[in-house]
Amino acid sequence: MNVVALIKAVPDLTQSRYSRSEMKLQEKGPRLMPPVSENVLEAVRQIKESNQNVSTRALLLGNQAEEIVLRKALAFGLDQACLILGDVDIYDPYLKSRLIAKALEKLGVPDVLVVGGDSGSGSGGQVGIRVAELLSLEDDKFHLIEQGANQPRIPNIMAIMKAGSKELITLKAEELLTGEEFKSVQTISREEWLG
Amino acid sequence: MDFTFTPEQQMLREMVKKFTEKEVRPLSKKIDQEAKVPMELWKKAAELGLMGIAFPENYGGAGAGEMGYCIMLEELAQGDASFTVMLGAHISIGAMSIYLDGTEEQKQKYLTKMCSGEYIAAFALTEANAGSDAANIETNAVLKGDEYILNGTKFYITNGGIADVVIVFAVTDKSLGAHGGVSAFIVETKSPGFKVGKELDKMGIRGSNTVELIFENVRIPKANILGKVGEGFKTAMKSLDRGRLSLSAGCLGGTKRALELSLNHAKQRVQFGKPIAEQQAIQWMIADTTAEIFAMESMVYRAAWAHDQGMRITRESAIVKMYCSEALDRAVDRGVQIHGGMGFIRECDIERAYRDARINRIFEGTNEIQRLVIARDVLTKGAY
Repeated sequence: MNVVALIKAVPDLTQSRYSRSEMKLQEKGPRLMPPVSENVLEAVRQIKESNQNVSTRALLLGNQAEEIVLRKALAFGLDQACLILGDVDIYDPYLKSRLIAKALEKLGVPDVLVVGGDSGSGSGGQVGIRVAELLSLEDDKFHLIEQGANQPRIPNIMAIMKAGSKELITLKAEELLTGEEFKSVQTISREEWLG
Repeated sequence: MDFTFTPEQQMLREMVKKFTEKEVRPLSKKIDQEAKVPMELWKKAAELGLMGIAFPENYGGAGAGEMGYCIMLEELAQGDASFTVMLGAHISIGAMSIYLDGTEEQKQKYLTKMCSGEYIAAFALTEANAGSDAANIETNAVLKGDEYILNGTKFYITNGGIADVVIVFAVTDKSLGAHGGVSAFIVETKSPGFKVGKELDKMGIRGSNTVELIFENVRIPKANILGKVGEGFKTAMKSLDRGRLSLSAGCLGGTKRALELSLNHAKQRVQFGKPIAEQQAIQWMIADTTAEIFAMESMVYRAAWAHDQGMRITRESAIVKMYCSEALDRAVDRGVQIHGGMGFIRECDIERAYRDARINRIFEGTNEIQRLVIARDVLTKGAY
């Protein structure tokens, strides 16, 4: 059984500050794995422990610096990881979900897809559900995990040290969707729309 | 120069921090009051592989090196000093002695179980009349057939009363003195004649088990000699080199915790109509501790890095131990001062931190001995 966990990286709000003048978050420090992604990984771990012949993969759409979040997923005990390199901050949920679905088609459509609910960043909660729809996954093959749904276990040191040598595939967003597909789904700002 | 921690080291820090906040810190007051670390905590740490952090994978360790080990102790020390010392003595000088000088058979038999946490280790060098003057030990081992017969008494032995295995240093040839006449032995505590004496009632790190050990005709098979006969003192000094560095990482963690407690108090305690953190006198103390943390961090991880590169760190570990233990003492003292009367009250965490800090200037070689080590090294090898 092939199980995929969709996880994400969010700004460290204990270090970042919101700039009123620029109306944006001034991020400081590396992005972190949100608690809901830890719940997702714990759910995948439980599936693996209660079934035989389970292969697990964590998938994250983000930038190269966020590889550490994927490595953390590997330390949680997942077998493989995939990083889709893209400018996640300017993509809308529809584009994100199409990119992820394309990546999963390329890697092999999972038997089970585990995603988190609201991560506390964009708080859209749309991406996971959209990916499941795009892949036509049946209800029993799609697990939506909310924050606090389980008690994530702390990974042990041996697993952390092995995480660095586990397989991590990198895909590029612009190679997953063709130019026209890529552009057609981008959103424009209100100002641009108003001309 | 690249001062960034590797992704594995960052994950390791985050993992130990979580464990410390969830499992260790909430027990710290109880550990102090009951003068005992619950074995349940030891087992939880073992499940995470903390005891094997510094050792290679083929002995059940994680292979995280001295850097990884220092990161772990720095984080754990922000939870509880007694537990940190219990773990530190087990790894740094107990298990480490076997790793450094043990045979492959000894490593497979003992080190693997120490890495998994099944065995607790202790290190017995100090005696009532041989503290800083460690070469003056009187405990002796006499060879009879295929066994050594061990007699004597050790004092101030961390983990001694709860250990499964103790590394014991004993005179095997008095005529040769410390260098040539002292050997190290791996002693199983279930051996007949091994007795645990008085448990010592301490000022700080009260949860750490500190006892007197008595050996009455304890029979030790020859196979349990650690290293070469007569070279026990070398084994002791090599282990202590490592122990002094990791002890300093604990001091760094303790200092960070003292600063955190001080900041929390200074921000919420209002006097003269404003939080005392806004008073310059308090800010100076905060600045001094912060600066010392920067220095401690720099020296601990530089020395750990040097060790992991295969360099010898005798001088460095003495410098780091001396500086960090004294900086910790200054930080907890400032912490109590910032807390005012509250800092003198038992229920206050900084009061416990103040008592827990003091031992660091004494054990694993007093700071006076560290100064001797540094000065002698400089005088024989040159300053830099």
